[in-house]
Parts: sequence; structure tokens; C-alpha cells
Amino acid sequence: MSDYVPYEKTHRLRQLLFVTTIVDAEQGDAIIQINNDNEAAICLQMRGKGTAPKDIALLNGTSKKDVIFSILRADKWGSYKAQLENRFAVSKAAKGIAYATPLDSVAGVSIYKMLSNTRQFEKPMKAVERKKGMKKK
Amino acid sequence: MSNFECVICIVNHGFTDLVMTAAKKAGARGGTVLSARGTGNKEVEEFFGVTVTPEKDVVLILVPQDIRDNVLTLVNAEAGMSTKGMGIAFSVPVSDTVGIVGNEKENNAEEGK
Repeated sequence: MSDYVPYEKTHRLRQLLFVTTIVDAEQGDAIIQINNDNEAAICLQMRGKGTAPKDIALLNGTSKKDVIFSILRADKWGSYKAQLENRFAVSKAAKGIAYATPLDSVAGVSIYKMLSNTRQFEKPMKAVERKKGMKKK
Repeated sequence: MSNFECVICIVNHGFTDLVMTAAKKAGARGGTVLSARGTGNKEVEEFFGVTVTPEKDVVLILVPQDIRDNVLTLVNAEAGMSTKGMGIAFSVPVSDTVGIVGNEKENNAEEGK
């Protein structure tokens, strides 16, 4: 057998979140900017429609929605949430909701690296380095 | 984990009202509709004797955990495979939420604000 060591044994894995943010139409670009600030690897913007009755939708201005799906590292959720709360407080038109769903698995190391936005090679964990050192001796 | 779940319902195009009516009966407050396209398997369609309309609507509904089962049951009864909507519904756990008005009030009350 080769010396293959699974990635999770050598590198610390971080939880990934699938984040859905729903805001009024034309507000999506601001949300994408917040996602970019928090190192989201992927942002997918879609046009949706609210299900409120027409009269209520007219009172609120529009029933058209921007739905943004993104993938964030869990350690970035706190700052993303704080920035979103500030954004939603700007005006009535900027209000929206967001929620995070934890991801269970991804299809391979390269996909994990891409989704977690690991731009530079992460150094292996110290315990594994020590173990390898012992083997050499 | 938060006490919310996201109910996702995929129905034939134009039948989102069935879903929302059922969900509101069970206590949901609102939802968001996205347009989508189904990619049904022809063999499966022939086997079950159904036709999968490619135009689909996806309804996202954020609901408290305690009413999730009711929402799923009612949506299945009123917009499920035995209806014209031919919908399927499932829920995914939500770890945290932002912007839910009732939820923020509850959090503030818990924190004594």
C-alpha cells in the first residue's frame, strides 16, 4: 500500500454552510457583495416571487424577490449574519431573510478546497507531522 | 441548531397556490417561488404511468420545527403526487436564521433585552 493519508487526517476540515438569502428584487447585488466580503466561494442569484397576497405585496412595493444561494465556511457565518442584520436595517426595501443549512459531504478534496475557498495551501496539522517524523526515525 | 426547518416543495408550474394554501393551513407564514425545469426519467414515467411536466415551480418555506410535520402532511395531501400539482415535498434542517421577525423578538426576550 502507498503512504496515502486521507485529507481529513492531515488537514483541519471546516464545516460548510449552504446559505439562502431572500431579499426584494434589485437588492441581490448588495447581498452578493456581502457574500464576497465573507469569502463565499459560490454565489448563485435567481429571480423568485413572494407568495404574499397581491394587496399586501402592493403595500410592500413588490412581490419579486432576489434569491441568493451561496456556500460559506461556518466560521464566516457570524460576520455574514452581522453584516446582513445591518443591511436589513437600512430601509424597508432592504429587508429580507437568510438561513443556513449545514453541508454533510462534498465530492472530493478538490471540491472541498474550492467550496471552502482555501486559496493557499494549508499546512498539515502538527500531530500528523510528528507522527511522520517518528516513522522516519 | 435553530428551531426552524426549510420545507422545499417541487410542483408542476402554476400549482404553487395549492402548496401555499396547504402550508398556511398548517401555520406557515409565507414562501418564495422559484422557476425550475424537471428532468424526469422516461422509463420511470412509463413504469408508473405518469407524465412529468418539465416546467416546475420550487417553493421554499421556512417553518418552525414544531409545525414541520403538519406542513409536510398537508402539502402532500393537497399538492402531492395524487393531485394535479404532482408535488414532492421534503425538509432540510436550518442551523441559523437572520431576519425572521418573531424569532428576533424571542431571542431578545431570552437575552433579557
